[in-house]
Amino acid sequence: MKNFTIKVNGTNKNIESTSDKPLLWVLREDLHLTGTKYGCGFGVCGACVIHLNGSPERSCQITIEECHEKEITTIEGLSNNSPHYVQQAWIEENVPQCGYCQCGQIMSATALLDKSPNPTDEEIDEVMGDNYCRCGTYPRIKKAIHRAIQFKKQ
Amino acid sequence: MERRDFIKLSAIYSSGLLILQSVPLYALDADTDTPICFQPHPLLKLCDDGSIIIYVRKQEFGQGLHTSLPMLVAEELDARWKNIRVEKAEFDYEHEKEYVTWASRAIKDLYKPMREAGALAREMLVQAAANKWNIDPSMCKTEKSKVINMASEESIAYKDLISDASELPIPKTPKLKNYKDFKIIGKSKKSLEIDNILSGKTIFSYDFSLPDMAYALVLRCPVHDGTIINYNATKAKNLEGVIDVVEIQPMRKANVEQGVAVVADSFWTAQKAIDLIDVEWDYGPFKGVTSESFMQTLKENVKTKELFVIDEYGNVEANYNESNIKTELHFEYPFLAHAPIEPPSCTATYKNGKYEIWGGYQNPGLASNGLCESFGIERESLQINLLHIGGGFGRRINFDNAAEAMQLAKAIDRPIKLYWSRTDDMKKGAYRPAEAVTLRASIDNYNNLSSWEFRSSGSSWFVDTFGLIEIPNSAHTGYGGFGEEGNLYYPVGHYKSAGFHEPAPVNTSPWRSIGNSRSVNSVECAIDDLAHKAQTDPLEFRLNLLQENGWKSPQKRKDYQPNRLVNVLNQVAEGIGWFKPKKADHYYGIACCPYLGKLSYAAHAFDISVSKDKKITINRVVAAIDCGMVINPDGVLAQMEGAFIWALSAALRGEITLKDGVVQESTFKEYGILRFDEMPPLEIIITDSKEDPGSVGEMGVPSVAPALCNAIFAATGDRITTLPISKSGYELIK
Repeated sequence: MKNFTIKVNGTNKNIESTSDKPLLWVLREDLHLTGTKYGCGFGVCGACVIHLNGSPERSCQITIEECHEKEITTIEGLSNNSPHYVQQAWIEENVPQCGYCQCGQIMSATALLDKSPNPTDEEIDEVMGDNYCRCGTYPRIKKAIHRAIQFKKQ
Repeated sequence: MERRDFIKLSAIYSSGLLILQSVPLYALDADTDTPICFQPHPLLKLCDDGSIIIYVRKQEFGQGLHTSLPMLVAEELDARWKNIRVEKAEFDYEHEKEYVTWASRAIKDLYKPMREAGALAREMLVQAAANKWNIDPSMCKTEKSKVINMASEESIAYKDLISDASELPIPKTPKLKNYKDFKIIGKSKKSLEIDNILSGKTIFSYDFSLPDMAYALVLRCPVHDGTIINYNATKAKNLEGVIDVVEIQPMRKANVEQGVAVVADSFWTAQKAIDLIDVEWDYGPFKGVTSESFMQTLKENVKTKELFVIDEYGNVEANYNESNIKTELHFEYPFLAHAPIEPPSCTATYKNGKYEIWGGYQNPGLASNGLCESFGIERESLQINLLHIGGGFGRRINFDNAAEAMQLAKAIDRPIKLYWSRTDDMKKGAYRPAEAVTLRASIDNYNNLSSWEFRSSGSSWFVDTFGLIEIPNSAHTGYGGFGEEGNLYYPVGHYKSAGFHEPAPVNTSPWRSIGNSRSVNSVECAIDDLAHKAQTDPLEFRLNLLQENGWKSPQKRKDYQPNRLVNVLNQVAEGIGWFKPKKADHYYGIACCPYLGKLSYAAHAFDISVSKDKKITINRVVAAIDCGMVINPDGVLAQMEGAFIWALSAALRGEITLKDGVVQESTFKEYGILRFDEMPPLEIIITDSKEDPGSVGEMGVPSVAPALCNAIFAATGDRITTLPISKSGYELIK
């Protein structure tokens, strides 16, 4: 066991863990931030996407050691009181069905729009193509991203 | 019950029936922080802070029931929608049937009872206001959570009436609205739980935790029904963070096979430890099975075995032989996984001989039966707590995870969270049964069906899990959904439907739209083939069959309305431009599906282009649904969108492959589920109907695969009878 320090949603956290433990399980089991979901553990589905120093990462694929002294944003810390504009777009389009994958979808979409405020459909496809939804909310996610782009412009 | 509630413990709400009696009001002791509430019905609470809480017994896994069911209550209550909150009703054995959430029947079953709950509360609030004003209740109207005095135009909010209302007797027969007065039903509402879902606050089964909880994963035999000869867990036990290694005992009635569990301080530790366990397995009877060998067995059954006759009339053989225009098709359907993004999990405790579990189960009563029998306990020794479900589709009928968690909670004596990993679920899940079908059918000179013979072999989760022998209504079996409820929905002169059950080399379970995901494909492709052989347009061929012609129909249900099937067919045909000139290289396919006994009808039409090297472009798809009265239009749209992607994914490349008895797929990628960037353009037509509400969730599935296959036939002349279509070399391109 080693000691690590990570800053999660603006708060410093000391974590005692083996070096190889994926950030996903630190967030979910140690810090009880369960908005970051386990879907596959192979980095395939995107349910566990978080922002590491502002960049989207699959938290099942990065170890706690790699996150040491870095800043992490999870869905719980995406916005403070009112919904983030991407969450608001998701609300307007009434996107979720079961909802399990949606936090990962939103974390991927926010990272995309942070980097590229006016993405092409190809860019959207490339990023969101790596986030699976089994309920089939893809058409609404697409609409919500376009709505979020408009929100950002206003 | 919560503290400081005014409770009318009166309405005995059971099996959808309200039996009402008046009982005295009582209040529990005071607590200043919580609002005072009035509960005129077990599923409805009105509080003095203005909130109206509706309890839902049905499980939510994406169907939108936690919004559409409250809409039914709010409509009759004339509640302001913003006041409505939804909560899960705690599971109680007394009402276990009402928690069953399957077969797309929640709205159909609860359309009246949920409205009655709202109506009885409204009548009490109106009476309370009328008493205050000293007028007759007929002089009052209600809207937006208030009672209005029509003479004086004064109004009183519901929240200010709850104390008075709670003094009144509960009406025995609350009057329901005429649909013409609906203000909420039929208007789109967003999910009542959307804020919590999108901010990560919703607690799914995988997310639930208890203090001092340990985490467990199970190593299971790669082959179905395999057993342990011996195992060595020394290395696993020595891994830092491992608490114990425990052998899991097989439990037939809970679908649990023998295995080795690691209990540890984390999922991660448990997963590492699992890899350190050496097991010598006896792979058992299924060790040599491949997908191909099992399909061969099914095909042999169809050809040579004496089949169980589901329904038969007339002389199929003679009429088939005499007919000039006929078809004989051999269909093959693979095993399919549900692959919900949330894998199964369960949290369990064991104290003083009693178990408590937390998880997501579509039928908690069924789960409790299987668990109590397996553990030799009575129901009072098992408390079930229901959590949100991250995708159901039939997978959550199973309670294998609960049985494993309970075994471990007893063995370890601390709260256990039992996880299934993605790979566990993909490789050792419960699958839609595979099926082989031989379908022979013929037509007469008027394009009417003269004979229809359906022979099939497959497996049934009912038979395999519960040991039931033959069930004539075999919507759940591999017999293709043909039976009392699933009989052919076109009229035919001579008819036979028969099947043979073959034990599956995997666990099986229902899968969104049960047997219809196969049977409707067989029917609609065969109909298309007959139309082609009759040189008739496939849409006109269907419309001709469905018109009233006095022919004998295998479909015995009196409430089957073929005209509604005609309507959805016409809608998708018009939507796709069936009779308009087609663009070059554009080909159309059509199929339809009645969901019998649930009073819903759907159809799909595809517009595709196919290149010489079998690359398919889906230019457009039009879907139509007539599900009777629409409660939440946006919810119906969402289900049709989701069902389309679900069904298209399966039709294109959905397949669970067995080699040496072992499932080869381990993640979403190999299973090939449809991705965001592959979604073709889809338009959905919803019929505005005043018929009683029927099914929605499963409706959008069955006619997708045959409409696509029929479009491929139109484009290439290739009659695909083996799914997925990737097995015939076809591939979707963007």
